[in-house]
Amino acid sequence: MRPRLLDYIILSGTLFIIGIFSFNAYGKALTPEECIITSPKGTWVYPLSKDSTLAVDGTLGVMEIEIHDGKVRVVFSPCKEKICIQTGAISKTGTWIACVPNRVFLKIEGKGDDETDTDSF
Amino acid sequence: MTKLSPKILFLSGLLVLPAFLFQNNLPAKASQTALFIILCAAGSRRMLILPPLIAFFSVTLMNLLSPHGEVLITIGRFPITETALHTGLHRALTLIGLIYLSKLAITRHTRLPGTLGALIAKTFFFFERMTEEWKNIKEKRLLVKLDTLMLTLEAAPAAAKKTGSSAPSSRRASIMFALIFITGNWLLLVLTLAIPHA
Amino acid sequence: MMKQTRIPSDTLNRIALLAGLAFLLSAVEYTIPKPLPFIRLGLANFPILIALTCFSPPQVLLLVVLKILGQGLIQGTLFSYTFLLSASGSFSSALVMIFLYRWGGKRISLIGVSIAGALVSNLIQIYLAGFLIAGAAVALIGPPFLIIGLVSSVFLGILAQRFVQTSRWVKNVQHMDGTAE
Repeated sequence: MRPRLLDYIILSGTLFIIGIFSFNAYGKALTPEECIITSPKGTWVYPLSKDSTLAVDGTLGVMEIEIHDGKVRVVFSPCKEKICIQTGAISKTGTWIACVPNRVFLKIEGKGDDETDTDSF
Repeated sequence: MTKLSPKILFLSGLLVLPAFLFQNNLPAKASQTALFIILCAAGSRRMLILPPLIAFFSVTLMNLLSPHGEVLITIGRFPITETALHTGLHRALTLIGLIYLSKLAITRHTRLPGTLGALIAKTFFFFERMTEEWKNIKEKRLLVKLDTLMLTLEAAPAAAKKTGSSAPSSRRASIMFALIFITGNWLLLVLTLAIPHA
Repeated sequence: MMKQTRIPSDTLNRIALLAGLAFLLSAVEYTIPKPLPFIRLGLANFPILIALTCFSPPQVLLLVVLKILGQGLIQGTLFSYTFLLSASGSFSSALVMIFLYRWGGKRISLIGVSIAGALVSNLIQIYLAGFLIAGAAVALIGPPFLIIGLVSSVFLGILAQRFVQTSRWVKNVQHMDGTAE
């Protein structure tokens, strides 16, 4: 009794699928891209993979932040200049948006390609 | 617990199921899970405490690995986030609670109705006979031994017609238990739904 | 509820016998010490592989139902996620195995069928577990789970194929029922 043609095909197919699964699993799961938001009121972490709308409390008031399609942007802010809103959307690791008057900082972290060299604020 | 009618227990379990599944309030869910575990322990002498504990911590931990929400504490470089913690606890409690709710609702005397029930009964019968006959077969080679076992068992059909060894059960106690159990859990659900989630 | 009138009682008896074997193997698997609790060896798939060669697809599915219900009743986990996971895994793998066995004909043996069945069952359980219980972290446990499943399904397939080719019981069934492949 020996294995037949389709047995080998199925075996290779299975090994292939397991390979792809592992690659994705250990690739994505261990290095997710997340948005870390810091304000005097606390720190928040949100994955870029899930669309969401967030309300973050800063010194001046509540900021509205939107995560959509893997990108983060500030929708509303109680500050005067609205520079943070004008910064637009960020999505690459190492990029950041800051609202200085409100003392809220958003930064993207993960092990993707670093956009910037500096790590410190 | 052992004096309660299997049918009523099964029905109670089924009816409480939604009241547990839809419960989103964590303390309420935790108390329900604790209740199920306690009721189970009351029914059977030995209960392993390690498995549910391990399950609880590992499920919570696994959910914490996908950080989400406000950071509560950071251990080293690992942030413990609020939403992730909440989801983790909720899923862990649901998992464990469901298991013990099931164990509560299903006893060794539980019978399924109809032809399917009869088939399952026959299956259990074969299962028990197999465990006995396996030792009696002299053959050493695994596959041949298995073959012989199956031939032997098929030749001796359901000789022991186990007329549903139904244990004596108090109908009154069963109904009382069912009523309290079912209404209690549903009341809890209604209460937590009525009180807006902070 | 069931097209029971079309299945002769002899066959029902044999299906119940195989289901009993499935319980036995489940019990055996339960007693094997495992480094990690979630690892499934799938020993209880052995009777299903055998059934593929002796019974028609609806009958094989009946066996699967018995196996699933029985495990739910023995462990008392009928209402829980555990049951949902293993039931979904068992069903989907049974469907795939039935399809492959029929479509593959001479070009496939129970080894390939077993591998495919285990893969499908494990993938579905991983997906459901991630969705219901563990979140994305389940992907970390996925690979070892799949690899162990692969290895055990290969061995199981080899055993099943060998059994089917040498077993007198199987020959009896195939000749009597006329559903021989």
